[in-house]
Amino acid sequence: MHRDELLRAIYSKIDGEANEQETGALRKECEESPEAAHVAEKAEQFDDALRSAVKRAYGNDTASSNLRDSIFAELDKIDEEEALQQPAVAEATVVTPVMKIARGFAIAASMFLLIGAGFLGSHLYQYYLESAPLQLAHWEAASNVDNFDAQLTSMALTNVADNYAMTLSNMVGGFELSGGSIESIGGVDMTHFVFSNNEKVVSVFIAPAGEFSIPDELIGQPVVRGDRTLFDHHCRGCRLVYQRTGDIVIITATTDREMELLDFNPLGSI
Amino acid sequence: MSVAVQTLPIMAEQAAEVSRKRSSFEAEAIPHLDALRRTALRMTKNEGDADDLVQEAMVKAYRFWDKFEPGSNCRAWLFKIMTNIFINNYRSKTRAPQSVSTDEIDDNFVYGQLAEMAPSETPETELFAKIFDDDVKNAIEELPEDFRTVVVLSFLEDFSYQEIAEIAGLQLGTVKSRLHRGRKLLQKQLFEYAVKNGYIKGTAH
Repeated sequence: MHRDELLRAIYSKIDGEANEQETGALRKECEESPEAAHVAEKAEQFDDALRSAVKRAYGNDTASSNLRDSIFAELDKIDEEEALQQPAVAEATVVTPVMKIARGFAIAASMFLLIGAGFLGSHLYQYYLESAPLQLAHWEAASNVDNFDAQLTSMALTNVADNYAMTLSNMVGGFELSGGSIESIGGVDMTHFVFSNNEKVVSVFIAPAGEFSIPDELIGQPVVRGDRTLFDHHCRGCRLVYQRTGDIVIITATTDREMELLDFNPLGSI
Repeated sequence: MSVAVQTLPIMAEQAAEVSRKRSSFEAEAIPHLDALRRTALRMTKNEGDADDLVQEAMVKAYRFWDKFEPGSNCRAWLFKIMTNIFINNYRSKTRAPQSVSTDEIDDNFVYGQLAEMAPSETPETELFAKIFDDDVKNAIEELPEDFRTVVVLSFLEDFSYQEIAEIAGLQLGTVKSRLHRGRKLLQKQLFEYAVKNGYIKGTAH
């Protein structure tokens, strides 16, 4: 073997890349030539030492915390971009200001979920799925409080009267009924009424208890008001109060932090 | 109203998907950050460029994480992305690709040194224990870039020839050739350095 050819064969073997033919040729060369055997032995020692030296020299090279932080910040941005990507919903091509607000809320809720996911895990996600549609529906209705359709409101009132034997007063705690509608919220058909006093707006959702449950996270923290047992949830954009009454669940919602929503009783009167 | 309301669960599902993607990326890709940075520095020979290169590679990898096949070689996949970025964006910034002719590497030098070593001599004790880490780094950084990349991927990161070929977009034969020549150059430089500094007895070639 030529010297360079011998070295190539030796290094292929050292690297674990030599095939049977190359290994056989090298073995034969070393058997026939003491010098080749000597070079092969030294080359292997030398290469081991060189690899060790290279690893030792670079062993302490690590990515700095600044680099890590910078990368994680970039990944966060990508997460945000991807979370904000709108799904292709044909009906959503006409975007009203109300829908923009609603989307904004949905985005905020999505980001809140992302940021907290590492700490709160699936409980938050599950609760988010349960409560966010209600919050979103309230936001949208509150932005549209003067434009309720009288016929839809009448249908909503009839619906709760027929199905739940429930007669809703036009005035509750100084709030006047602005309108109502029957909506699919979070996959559940609910009757949604909106009350306002010109300053504050309260939504009242009425859902069949067989299809909608008070979130598990709230069940252990009941709040008693008179003969009513309520479950209170504060979140960033909205406050929700849940109440189970017979076969229905009533949820009240407002964005007004100053308002004592626990005292708003849609089953009461003026 | 129902359109927006019905859209929200879909967005929530997107958020959950993003969260799953992030967890998976952090578990599989982030552990290779140190290795990527180490090699990036050898490629760019500049701390700032190395950080930029690694960051660019990680961001690109994350954007295309859905293209990564779970269970396949994540480390090689990341190195391939980084090497491609380096070739496309950084190499031209620093200098034109170098080519070293075989003539510049004395085929007999390394062979001669090895052949002249006494049987009892061990390179580790006689040479590398005396050579400083910086000398090794300098020797590697003096390698022509084409050789350096292959040598670093092999010596530092222990990639196989086939992996190096895929990472660097080279033919297997080219990898073998570059590694062989790069290795000889590296050995020659360190031998000469050791002889010059009196660490080992050598023959002037």
